[in-house]
Amino acid sequence: MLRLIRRPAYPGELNHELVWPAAFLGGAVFAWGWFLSGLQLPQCVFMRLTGLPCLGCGGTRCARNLVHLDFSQAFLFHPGFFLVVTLAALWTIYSAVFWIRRDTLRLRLFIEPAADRRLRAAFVCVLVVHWAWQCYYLTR
Amino acid sequence: MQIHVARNSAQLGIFAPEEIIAGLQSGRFLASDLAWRDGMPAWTPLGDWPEFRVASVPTSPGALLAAPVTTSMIPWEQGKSLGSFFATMKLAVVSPASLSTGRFAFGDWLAFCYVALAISAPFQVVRLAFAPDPGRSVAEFLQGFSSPALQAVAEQMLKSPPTPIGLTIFSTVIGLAFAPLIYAGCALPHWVGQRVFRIQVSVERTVAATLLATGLLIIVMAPFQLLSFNVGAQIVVSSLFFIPAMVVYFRCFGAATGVSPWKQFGISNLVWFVLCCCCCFLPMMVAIGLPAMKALGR
Repeated sequence: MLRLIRRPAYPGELNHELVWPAAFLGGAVFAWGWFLSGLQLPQCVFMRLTGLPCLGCGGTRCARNLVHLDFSQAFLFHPGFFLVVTLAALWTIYSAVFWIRRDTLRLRLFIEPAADRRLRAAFVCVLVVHWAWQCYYLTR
Repeated sequence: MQIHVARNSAQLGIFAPEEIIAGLQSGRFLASDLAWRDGMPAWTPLGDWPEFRVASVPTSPGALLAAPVTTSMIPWEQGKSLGSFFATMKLAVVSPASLSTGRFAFGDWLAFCYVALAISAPFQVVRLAFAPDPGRSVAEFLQGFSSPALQAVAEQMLKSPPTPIGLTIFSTVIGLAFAPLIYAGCALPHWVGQRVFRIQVSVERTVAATLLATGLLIIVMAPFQLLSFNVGAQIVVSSLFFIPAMVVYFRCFGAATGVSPWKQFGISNLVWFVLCCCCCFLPMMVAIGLPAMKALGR
């Protein structure tokens, strides 16, 4: 269904080992500056109108807890954001190793076309389960 | 052994040799498509693979040249200069359909976005001069309304301590330095949205198109920073101008990705509605813009 492969980059391919670590580190510096400034985001309008969280609710609290290295709380506030940050951090570590070793083969995720439909369905299911968790945890 | 095939900066997939032979005969694959398999040092055109020459693949240089080669009509991809930057801007606004001929290599459009930010930098300086603490300015503006919801938002914003000017300048500089990379990061959820809706556009093209359209938006919206001396006027004028700016953005983005602008608009809204709290943006604009217009009308 999903395969990790190692292959050289083809001409014109996005340099994933350079771009995403830079974007991740840039985002981390931006978030750090944001929290340092003490700026607050206004309350979610969806939450205000419906009483239910939107899928982004809890993301800021997750990021704040990550900055303070409270990983369990960060995960509980927004498992999806936590997972994305964890994967981005792992990719950054892999990229650092890739550049240090001057490797030529790059790690790539390959989605088999036959599995495309199942993956889409799984993705939507995960979003629904995630939202159910947010509805439970953020409105306790 | 499985063979990886790529064309125009996008991977077509992994195929068995028999599939490639059939594909070459049916026209699904071109002799100029790049291919790679385990053990090879680099990607090589299919026409250069000995095992595929047997399959009546056009191998002569003439035949290889006959493969469709698209020439980019985008000035920025023909040469990098301030003139080509503004020519690209004009093309994106006046004739976005021409963008479909672009190669959309990431580096080109990253540079494009940085140029847009550099041009918008003087406007940012003006904003810093007039409103060094934008959060406080917005909060004070919101306090002028009688709506309890807006009052609550204003109170919440005023709770935060005033930002030191040094930190504001630092965050602005860091923001400008990393902004295109963060925009590129924002293109990833959009790419996921495209996949969910079975729209096959490569990550490279989605990211590059996002950088192009965002660069355009940066230039279009930059002059509104000059209204920073009056946050109310800035919010109202920006809100009113935001709709035509979005039209330009999605026409450009749609043409660059080869997908209908309406589809891209729908995906964008849904992705940001589902994945992020940006769904709050529109109601917030309505909540702020309508009372502000009423107040201006009085």
